[in-house]
Amino acid sequence: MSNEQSVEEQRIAALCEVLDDVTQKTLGKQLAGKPSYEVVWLEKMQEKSWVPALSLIPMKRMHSFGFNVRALQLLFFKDSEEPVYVMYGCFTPRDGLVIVASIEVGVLLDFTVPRGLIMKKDELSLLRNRGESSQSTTNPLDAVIRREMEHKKKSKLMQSFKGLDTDIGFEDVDTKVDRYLVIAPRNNRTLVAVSSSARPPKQVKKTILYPKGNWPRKKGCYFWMPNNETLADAIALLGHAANRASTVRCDYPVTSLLPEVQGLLPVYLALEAGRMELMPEDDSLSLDEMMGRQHSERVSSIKESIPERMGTSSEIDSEKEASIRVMCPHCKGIYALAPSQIPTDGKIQCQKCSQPFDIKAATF
Amino acid sequence: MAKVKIICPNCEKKSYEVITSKEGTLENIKGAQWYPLMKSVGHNHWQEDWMLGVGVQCKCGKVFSIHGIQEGDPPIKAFQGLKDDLMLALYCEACDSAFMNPGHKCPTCGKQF
Repeated sequence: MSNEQSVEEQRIAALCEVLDDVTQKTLGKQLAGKPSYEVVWLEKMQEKSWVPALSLIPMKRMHSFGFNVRALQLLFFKDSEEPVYVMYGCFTPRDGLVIVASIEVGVLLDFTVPRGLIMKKDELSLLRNRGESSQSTTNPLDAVIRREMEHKKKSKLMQSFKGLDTDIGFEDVDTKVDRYLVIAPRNNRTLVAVSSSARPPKQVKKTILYPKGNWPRKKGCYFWMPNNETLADAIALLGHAANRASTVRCDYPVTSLLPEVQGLLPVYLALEAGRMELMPEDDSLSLDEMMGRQHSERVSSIKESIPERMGTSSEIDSEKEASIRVMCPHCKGIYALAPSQIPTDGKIQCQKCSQPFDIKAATF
Repeated sequence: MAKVKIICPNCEKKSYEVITSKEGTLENIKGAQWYPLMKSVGHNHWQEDWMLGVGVQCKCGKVFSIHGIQEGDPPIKAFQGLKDDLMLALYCEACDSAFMNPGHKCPTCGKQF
């Protein structure tokens, strides 16, 4: 490691190496190559200065910390062309100590499913589809997951869900990360994401001293690594969920609103699905863009075309009039129209370029 | 309350008891893993209701359906498989996973239900 590297660069390099170590131990043989990393490392935050996107984990007892370190890891498996996205949430309770506390894993499948859903603990909720009433009707994906829940003692999906942790215990810091499974169709793809806390094995409160020597703090930095089983369970659950979703794939576009979860990955994947559909030639979105640390036209236009969050119930009520998404065939402008804005013959004038087009050719 | 004995039309061995209330609503199918059937009733819209019929995963490994449970309908009767427009999520015990598809064939191990 060269002395010219900044403290931040050294920390990030160390974190990536630690995460790489866990990943290789857990999944090494299944991977086609080295994972890629993107890390956002902010200074330790006090409760008051939490940045919303980073502070999704409330801490109880003694101290409160927001996640101030986020690492996005892309894994490439031998049997798949699409990457698996892993988002690590970490915090630094004191100088020289990094606790990797939360792991989210996710994929973007290249098909849609009829409706989204979220499973938390033993509770299954349907997500609302854009343009449809919030009335809770069933659908094939929901039926399949309910069938798994009815067989929860044997079901592979339910057993790997059960394997995910919800507690993080560290000295005087105590918190919970809600485990979840989200399946949500967006932009002709379906995002599947799973979250777990990354608790190290109970009996070995072992930390990793890294790097030896050239660290700003002479003693080096301790990393509390996530345990291997958690990552393996999360990846297994992701595989089961993607497989179940594929049995009920549908050939029409569906947009599911996202649920509120303690995590960043569903939002990242939703935006990235939007980027893939609207700007297929572009590079992937960066964490900085997604967190709003860097102004991004791309993120603004994706958010404009598709809502990000499920929102609160009052927001859902205010959106009662179903809207229809259209893309103008002339200027490719995308916006939503309320049914009352659409004449019966379906001929509308573009709000952006004023040219006429037929709604039938433009909805998606 | 009424009880009607139904024999699996696939294996013609296993029998189950359909129990209905005085009002003609379904209370239970004794001894069976049973589920209300699902039907597509519009674009991306489904109905799941025992009035459409009930699917049973028989211990013989095959699936059959029961129709005519509600009062006033033709007598309660069992049929092999499911009618074309009806769907059912099935659980494959060999793979410990659930699925739903028109052919009722487990996508993991290929077992035909």
